[in-house]
Amino acid sequence: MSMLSDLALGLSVALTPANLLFCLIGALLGTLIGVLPGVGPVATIAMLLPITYTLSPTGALIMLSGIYYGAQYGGSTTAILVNIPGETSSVVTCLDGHPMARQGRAGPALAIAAIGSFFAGCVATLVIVLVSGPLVALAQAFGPAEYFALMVLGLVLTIVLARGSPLKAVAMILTGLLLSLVGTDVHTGAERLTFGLPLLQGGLDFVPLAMGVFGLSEIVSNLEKGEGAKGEMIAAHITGLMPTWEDIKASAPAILRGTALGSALGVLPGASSMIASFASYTLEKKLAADPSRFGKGAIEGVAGPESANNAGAQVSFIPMLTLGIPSNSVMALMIGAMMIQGIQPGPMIIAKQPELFWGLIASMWIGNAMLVIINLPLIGIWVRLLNIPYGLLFPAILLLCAIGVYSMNNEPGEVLLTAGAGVFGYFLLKLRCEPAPLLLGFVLGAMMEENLRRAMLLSRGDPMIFFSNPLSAVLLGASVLLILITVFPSVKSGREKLVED
Amino acid sequence: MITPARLPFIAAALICAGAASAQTWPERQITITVVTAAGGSPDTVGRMIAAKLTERLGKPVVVEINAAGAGIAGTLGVVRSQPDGHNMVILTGGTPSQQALRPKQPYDLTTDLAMVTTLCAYPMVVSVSPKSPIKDFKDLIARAKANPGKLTYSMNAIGSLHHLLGEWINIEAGIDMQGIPYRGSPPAFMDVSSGRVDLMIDTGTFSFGQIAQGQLRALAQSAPGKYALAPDVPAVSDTLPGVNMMSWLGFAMAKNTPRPVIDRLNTEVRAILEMDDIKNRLAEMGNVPMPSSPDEMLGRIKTELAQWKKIIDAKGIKAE
Repeated sequence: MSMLSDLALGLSVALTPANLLFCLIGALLGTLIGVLPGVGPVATIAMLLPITYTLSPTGALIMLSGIYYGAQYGGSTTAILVNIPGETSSVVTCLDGHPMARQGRAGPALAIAAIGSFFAGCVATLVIVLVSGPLVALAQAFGPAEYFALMVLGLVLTIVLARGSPLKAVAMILTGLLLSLVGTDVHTGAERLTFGLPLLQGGLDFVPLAMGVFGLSEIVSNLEKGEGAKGEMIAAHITGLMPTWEDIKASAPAILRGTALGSALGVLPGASSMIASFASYTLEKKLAADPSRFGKGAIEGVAGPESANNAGAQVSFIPMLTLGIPSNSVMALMIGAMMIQGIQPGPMIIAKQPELFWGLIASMWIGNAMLVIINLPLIGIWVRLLNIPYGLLFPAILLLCAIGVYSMNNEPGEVLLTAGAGVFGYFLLKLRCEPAPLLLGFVLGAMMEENLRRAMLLSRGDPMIFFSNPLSAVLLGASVLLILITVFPSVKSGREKLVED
Repeated sequence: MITPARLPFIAAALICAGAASAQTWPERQITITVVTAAGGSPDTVGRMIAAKLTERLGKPVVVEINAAGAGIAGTLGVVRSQPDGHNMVILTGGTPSQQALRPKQPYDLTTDLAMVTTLCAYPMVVSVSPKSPIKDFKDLIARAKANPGKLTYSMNAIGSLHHLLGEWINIEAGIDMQGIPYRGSPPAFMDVSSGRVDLMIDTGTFSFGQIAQGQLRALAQSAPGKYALAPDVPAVSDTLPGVNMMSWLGFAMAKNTPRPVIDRLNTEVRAILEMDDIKNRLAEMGNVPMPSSPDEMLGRIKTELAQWKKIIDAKGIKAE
């Protein structure tokens, strides 16, 4: 079978001592920058690009990919331990991962995130081998109208995400949409809500916003509760590092479903691995026997989204390797790395450079295995981090956040922006408004608007474009259905209340 | 107090300071600010040249990304930096077009910066999906005439070089193709290759790679004549005389940077652009080296500003 021989070729390349070493370096470095809030794979890979010039092309790509998926692992650690999402995809991990940590179950949360990611990584590697062709066709079937419909579905799913009042969730989504308008409009070049500040002309960035509304506001509220003053620990008692059988039984189906979602959505350019992670969260919450556990430390709420985002991250290599089209900025840098080596990414790469293509894919599987081996023993150390008195821990977190934000653009203004977002997040907390729908509205809103207007330009102002093609019609139909399902129970209970009165 | 009588002394002191700093320059690390996203061609080329400059100047030359605020914040940082030759910004062919579109920017390109040298250049490319019925550039114009307002082209934001080339072709050929804005080339490519958008106007850096892989078919390129790296692709100006543009990268510093510093840098960059490994890597990105004197660079920017203003006024393009 040619596929087996391809894989064997890949393994023979990936298992050479030099390439194993590059894989390990990448995975380690990735875990490290993932754990540090704000320091992301984009900045790291950009800085390392010139060094890769001196490496072999395969070694260079193996190392850079290791950084990318290593960062996905590390990012969930920060999300779980200190409630700071370093990447769009770990926003959802905060929702149940951090409550678990507060209950002293940080160990199981970290372990299940690592196990879920490993499983998803293995499956995604197989997906790349088996179905990259059909998946590319799927990506090409998505035009502006289909993307718009997908984003609408995404926003509707977001409402389900929220704990508490759906009305507040809608308000948060709308606020997120408003925030996504800030900056120069691509379609008209108009400056919107920039108040003449050069800093805002390019729009708000996700990292300062997420760090502020999740992380900083969390710190403020912890201090307010007096946890800092008394030197209390976040998790007073730690109940075991490894997940129990119950945990694993609860997580297994979530991991399977998350992996499937991530593998399907990962191929779409844009925020696909994030959409996959919260689609998975929504699905788990809908399927759960007791949805009210979600947001209070449900382990499925960590297992599903973590698997989905890792599968999505890995599958996003498909358009890059087969079409030369990057689906996110890390992939754009990978293309840069290939071009530095004189390799033109695109459909010819499999035929012309089979040892590079298959070696890279085999290395992803090896790298994922390495990450589990690196991460599982580290869990004890990470969890012990929570035992540091909060009075010492929070200044360190603040400092790391400030460094992380500053290092993105070397722009002091963005550090101030993060602080502002922190104040804003604190008010949201006081008003009992969830920041997650806000961030998702922010990320999806920009893409939704762009694709809506692009689709309308292409159809010359005819809105039928959204319904005349089956894919977008189905997605929009599903959104309407979801809204009805969400609204009707509350309408019913509202009526019942009226009757009772 | 500064009185008119004292001015000559102050001027003399300033000149001395300039001369002294030129002799000891560089005293410390030199920072090259890139105002576009990591991994783009300004970043890649900037880092290539920074590595060579570090060897030749004996002080570290580093690239810093500041893409905040659509690049305005980063450029402004260099405009306001000490004019002592330790801060540079990479300007691109898109810089004058943005200035032409937004005259109210917080700095004036032609007076607030001192040009050092242009680095490299590439044309814009008009291409279609390999499955497209459009045969060549003349056929494109004929089809656009036969179906007014029907053809679409993918472009970058309003006022980008992509957009300006599209509109320039519209003006000279008397046609009315509709530009569809995209954030970056990849999503535009997806829609062009699936046939949702009829043609792609994009940078040589992006297009030549896809053309070599058979994923796009070139109709024309925008160099003033034959382009050395793609001699088979006809020029737009073969069909529409006078329509040509090159995008470029170039170094600039704060105004009042001592001329000897600028001249030294200019000489070093010229020498670097002569190196074979640099030439090869530029060629892989579809770029040709294009060193220039500071005055030539300023002249290029002024010419382009005037040209873009003409197109922007003619088509009523506004940032609003």
